[in-house]
Amino acid sequence: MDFMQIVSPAFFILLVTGVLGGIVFGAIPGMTATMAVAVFLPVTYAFEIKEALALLIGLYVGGISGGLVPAILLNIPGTPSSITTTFDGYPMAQRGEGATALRIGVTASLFGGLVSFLILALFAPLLADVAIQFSYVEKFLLILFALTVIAALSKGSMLVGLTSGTLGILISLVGTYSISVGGNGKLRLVPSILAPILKNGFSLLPVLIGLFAIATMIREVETGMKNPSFDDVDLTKKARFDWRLWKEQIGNLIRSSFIGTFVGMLPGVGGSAASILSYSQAKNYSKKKDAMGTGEPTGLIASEAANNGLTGGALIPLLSLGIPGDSTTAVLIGAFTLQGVQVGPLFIGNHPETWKGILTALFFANLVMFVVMFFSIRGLAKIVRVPKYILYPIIVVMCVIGAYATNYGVMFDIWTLLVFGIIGYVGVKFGLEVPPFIIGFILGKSAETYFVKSLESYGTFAIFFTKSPIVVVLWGLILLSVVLSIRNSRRLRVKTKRR
Amino acid sequence: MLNVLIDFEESHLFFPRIILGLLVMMTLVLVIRFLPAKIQMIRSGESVRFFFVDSEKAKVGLTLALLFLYFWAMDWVGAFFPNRGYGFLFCSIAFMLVSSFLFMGQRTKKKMIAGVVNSLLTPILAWVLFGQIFHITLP
Repeated sequence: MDFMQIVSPAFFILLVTGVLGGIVFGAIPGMTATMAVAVFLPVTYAFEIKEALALLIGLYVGGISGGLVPAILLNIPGTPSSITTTFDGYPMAQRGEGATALRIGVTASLFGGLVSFLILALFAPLLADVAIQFSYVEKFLLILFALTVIAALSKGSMLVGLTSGTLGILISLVGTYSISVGGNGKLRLVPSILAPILKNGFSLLPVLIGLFAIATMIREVETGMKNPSFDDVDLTKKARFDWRLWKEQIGNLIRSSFIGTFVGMLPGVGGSAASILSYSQAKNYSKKKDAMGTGEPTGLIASEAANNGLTGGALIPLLSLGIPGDSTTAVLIGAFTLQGVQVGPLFIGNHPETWKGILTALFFANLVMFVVMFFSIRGLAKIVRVPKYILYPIIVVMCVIGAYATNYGVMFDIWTLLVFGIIGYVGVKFGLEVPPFIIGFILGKSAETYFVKSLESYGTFAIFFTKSPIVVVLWGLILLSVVLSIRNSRRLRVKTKRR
Repeated sequence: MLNVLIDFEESHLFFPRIILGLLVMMTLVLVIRFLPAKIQMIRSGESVRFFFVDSEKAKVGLTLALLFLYFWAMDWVGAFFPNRGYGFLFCSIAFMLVSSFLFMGQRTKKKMIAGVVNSLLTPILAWVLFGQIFHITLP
């Protein structure tokens, strides 16, 4: 297929806009790549799917990359995935090597992003080919596996993660058991007074925007919505690009990029897990273990290569299985839904142009991110100072447009925004884990269809254990994730007790 | 024992009942696991906080009230001018003005001018771009 048929001037303009917008969101502490994608979703109504995805993938890559700016300059991770960037990035900035640290981080990000792009291009079609053979039984177990992995890696205990995921599933079931999926068309979990407005349940987009944008804003209001300052960081010192450093770090760079990509492939696991795992591996292999955490480029490279490696990795389960790899790709599902495209095993085969468009967008988004961030260090520093009292009102207005347009003008969708904003804000205070909740909400209806249809067809629960060898493998993976989670939480408890 | 027959007429409740049962079970386990520690905390004099220390509780309440008012007013005003998006336009300007001032913290002339300009420009641009050029439905 001709390259120019895939891309167009509009494609590139939206891609660059997305990367720039993403960098702004990523660079402002409290705002995340997920929020950037959620807020810009309404804009995509007006475009073809390829252009829409160019904008959103640009936002995703820019948002993840932008997080390194406050991590290095302020010791505050701009996004959760840049938490380990602070460990060595900030000490470097304090030594007057802020510009060098930013350039090292940006270069590592580019490498991680390109490795993940390659793995996405090679791996997603293979995985989709396997998944095409899945029946309802295997599909249900795949969702169960996704939920146990998310729960196992959630911040609190596994049980908290599982409870959050189950709550997400329950809320997704509100409304009619749709005839289009073989249901009986009857209402459930809806009080009769709300039956007319909740007939179709809660729409995905307002729920996502509410949880990621409105809830974040309320949290920011609570903490005073302050913009941090970094007057003590010197960015005037010239940063030289030292090739010797990269020659030494090539092993670390490759390992970290792969770790990021493969962690990204695990459903629901965020960038923070990828960068923490990669950082700890870099420390294990480093000759200067003691220097890590005091401004050693090894740590900075490990963190940034991993969190950008996550981007392509998280797209693999989304595009081949229909299961989002992280919160941001969960929001991306919203874009596909808006365009009437279903992601899953058939996506790559049925929409080859869109698939190639996604790959092109991911590749160029990384290049654009590199060029923009590498050559505008001073500009990046200014982004952190963009006042939040200007940004958040704009975000609310964008959220309203997005929510209202979801079902072509239903006021209830705007109220959903507020309801889930409050649920996100209050729920987190009581330990609700948002990523498992969202994944549960997105996959809940499919889980029901696969579960009920499997039982209707075979008439026994035993089918979930005996259907095929794939079923045995999936149960093995589910058990493994549960056992590993229990072992990790026990280790953590022992460590805490010793302290 | 593992055999099951799903009545089609009742099939809409089959999965939700299982999920609800699981949710109740897990919540109970969580309560049993974490409640004693919380009670211990309260007994030992530690206060259980909902808000952070030094948090702006009043602003949280005001923001929620403002959002509620904004959404309600948008629908109410929009009803006077059906399909024109004026409810969105007018109420967004008002919401942005009030929220900018609420979030601003210490007010300076420069900050206030920026807030007012932003509150006027953003809704007008959004209304023109989304409502008039892209033909996206606005309240």
